[in-house]
Amino acid sequence: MSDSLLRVELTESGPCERTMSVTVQPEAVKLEREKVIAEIRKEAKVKGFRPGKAPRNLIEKTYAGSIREELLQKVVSKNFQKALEQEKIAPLSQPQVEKVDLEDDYKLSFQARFEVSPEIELARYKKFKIEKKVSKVSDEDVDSTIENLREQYANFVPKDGAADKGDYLLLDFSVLDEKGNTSPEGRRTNQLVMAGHEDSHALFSHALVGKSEGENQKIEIDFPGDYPDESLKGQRVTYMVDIKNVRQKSLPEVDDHFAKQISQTEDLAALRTMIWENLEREINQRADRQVEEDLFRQIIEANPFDIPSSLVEVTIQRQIENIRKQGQAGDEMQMAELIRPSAEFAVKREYVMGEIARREGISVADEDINAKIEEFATQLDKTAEEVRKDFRSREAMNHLRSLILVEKVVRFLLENNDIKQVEE
Amino acid sequence: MKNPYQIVKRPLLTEKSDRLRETDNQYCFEVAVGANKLEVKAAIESLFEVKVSSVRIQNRIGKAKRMGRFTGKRADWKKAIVTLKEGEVIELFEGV
Repeated sequence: MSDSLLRVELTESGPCERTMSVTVQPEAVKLEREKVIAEIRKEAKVKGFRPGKAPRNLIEKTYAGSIREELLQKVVSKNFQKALEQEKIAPLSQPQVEKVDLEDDYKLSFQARFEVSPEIELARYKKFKIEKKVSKVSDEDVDSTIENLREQYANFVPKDGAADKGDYLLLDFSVLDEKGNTSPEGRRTNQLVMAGHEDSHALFSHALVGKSEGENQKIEIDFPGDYPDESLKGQRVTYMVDIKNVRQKSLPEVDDHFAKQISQTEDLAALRTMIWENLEREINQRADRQVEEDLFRQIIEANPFDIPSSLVEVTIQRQIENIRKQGQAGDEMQMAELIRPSAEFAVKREYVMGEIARREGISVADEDINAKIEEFATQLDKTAEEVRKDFRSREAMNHLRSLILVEKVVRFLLENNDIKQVEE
Repeated sequence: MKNPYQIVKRPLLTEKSDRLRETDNQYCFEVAVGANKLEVKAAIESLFEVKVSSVRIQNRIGKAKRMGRFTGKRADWKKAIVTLKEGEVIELFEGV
């Protein structure tokens, strides 16, 4: 079969979609058909004949259906590939094969619909004005970070006397029925409840304020008519509460000792400096990311192009999978719609990046890879060899390459666009 | 004459019958146990509109088959090998 046997008609059926009509010459189909029959014949079991010994015309008759099926499948996939080579196009998506037509056993034509990469003309991707918004770190920011740290390192010390709002109570409780009896199903032991906590059991936790250790008493709660829980709505419920102990949250003092305890710094001043620097770095990183995104957004806006929907779908699916892995459930359709804009942006960004790299001749050289590996090595406190081992697989290596390419393109863009630092 | 459809039961299509057909222009059939050569000849001639030169007949004994501890036996049957006159063809076998 030579290429001249194929008649291919290519039409643009959508922004990033092509429809290819292929007519295969009868000779090619005939040849393929013989092969298919021979193949089936080898295995065919016909009564009265040993496997592989049945006469050809008998096979052709008894296996007419599967011969046809197999033939279509083979010829279509083979010639689809051939047609792609002939037309020099690469589909992005699995082709939708339609209108497969086989007449008189040998005349075959089919249509395949698939998506292709868009042609991107980047008219402009330099000299955009981007503001890098950086906010100053203030003493208050550091203070609030330290306050958070205190909360994290808080101790709970036993407390005599009545529980205040915010104290924790360890208690058993049971629900009393109308006659004042407890039932085993309504009993909970060793519950830790924060007095006055504003969660879904707010009524109960508010009632605990003022109780102290060893108290054993009834609490009556009137649930309002609009209470969210159907079974409790408008009910008066009596709880028997047995308070085992009361604990008070005690926040550590902010001093040099605290600094030493939670970090490797020597004293409080050093801790403050460290927090200051961390905050600054965070702000800077966030600003950099913002700049990058703004930049791509502007480039994409200035150079509109269509994107193949199959790529967007793939991206959406991947993100949904990630969300699922994190254990969040949700309606698939709804999630997809929520993610769609960001997925489209990601796909466009990918294309823009690729096109810029191509135009500017940005590529990843071995030195880049080595440098990156060294960088990882120092970050992870490993030797370069160990890190290199992690990237043995082709997949990991490709991932690394694309990572470096993205970095290089971004660096190029940052150099060639107008980034102005603005303090907020 | 007996109904030809009651005499000729089915054509036999096997490797062996296929070979006989190609080399000797002979066709094999399962025929009624009670049928004789003359009856088979007449039946084939009327069914397929061909000229038969000779008929040979074999009495095939049904195979003994077991179902666990019970032995059984498949029915005996009769096989006819029909030789056609030169140039005669039974289309039924050709298409297959």
